[in-house]
Amino acid sequence: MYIENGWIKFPLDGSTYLGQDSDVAKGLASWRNTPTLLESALILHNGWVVKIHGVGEYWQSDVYETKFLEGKSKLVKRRIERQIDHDNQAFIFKQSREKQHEFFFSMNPGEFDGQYVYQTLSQKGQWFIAELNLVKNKCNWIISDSKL
Amino acid sequence: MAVSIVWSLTNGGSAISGSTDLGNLSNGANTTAKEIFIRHNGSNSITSAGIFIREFSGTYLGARTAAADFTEILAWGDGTTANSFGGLQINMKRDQPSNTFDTAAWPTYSSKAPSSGKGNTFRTGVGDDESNPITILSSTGATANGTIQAGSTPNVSFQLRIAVPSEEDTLGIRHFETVLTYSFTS
Repeated sequence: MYIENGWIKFPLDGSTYLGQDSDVAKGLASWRNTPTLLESALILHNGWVVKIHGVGEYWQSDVYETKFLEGKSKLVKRRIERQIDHDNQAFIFKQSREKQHEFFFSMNPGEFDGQYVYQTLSQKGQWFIAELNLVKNKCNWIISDSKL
Repeated sequence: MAVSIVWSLTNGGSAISGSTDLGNLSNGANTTAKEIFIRHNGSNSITSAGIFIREFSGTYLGARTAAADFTEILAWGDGTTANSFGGLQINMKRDQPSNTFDTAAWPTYSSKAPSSGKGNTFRTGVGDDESNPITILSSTGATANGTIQAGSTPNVSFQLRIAVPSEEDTLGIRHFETVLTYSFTS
């Protein structure tokens, strides 16, 4: 299984769904029309891999820009999103290596090596969003009241 | 999937080709409002749709620099006096059943975002960067604020105009770039 640009989702039943950009463009792959309750999911673009782990509701979105008078859109951000489903505290860890960034949800602040990057607190229903900024060539994360 | 955007001057019309001439202006005057229609070919709605401006990235034909022009257009919008106020303005208040834009929604020095933001002025912190676009509101024909429906018609539409401050004293061509930003999920 290899794709260069797109997304991969891993549902709870062990199946795998691929959303290669070229297939999405042809209408042969769709995030919306495939399961969104997942064990994990990841996005890829030009060597970057950003993945979120943990059973939950996932979403994926791309941000584009189009200059006035131009029809062609430019991909500027690619996001993978997971709804926070913890009533109280959860710890979100980040493990990074060059262009690969992975985020893990855990109830235990000592479960993974290194420091957690965020501690949720009564944020059930909000969304944790890992964002790959292709203009600034970096990965960051945000918390949002809704999926984007 | 990269969605293709069509900018046109009529609902469902041909894509605008070449530049759009807003005319020559004297100090203290506004260009004729130009109605701009937007549609896309995505299979689903696009969301978080908004407009922002930035420094011109094409071949510069002005009298100074693209950076100076961008700074100036924002300064016009930031104007702290009636004579220094101007800039790029947007009107998204299309009234029904008249199907016309409410002239009272155009910004003024004393109200830079009238009609609860259905009129607005591009200025520092407002539509001057991809992080703070002016949201395309439902009053433009969008199904919700920031959400532009799939399909060739009806399109969303809004009006744009440029106001030149009364005290502007430098003649010449200005360049800046208008950009639509949006999110899409396949």
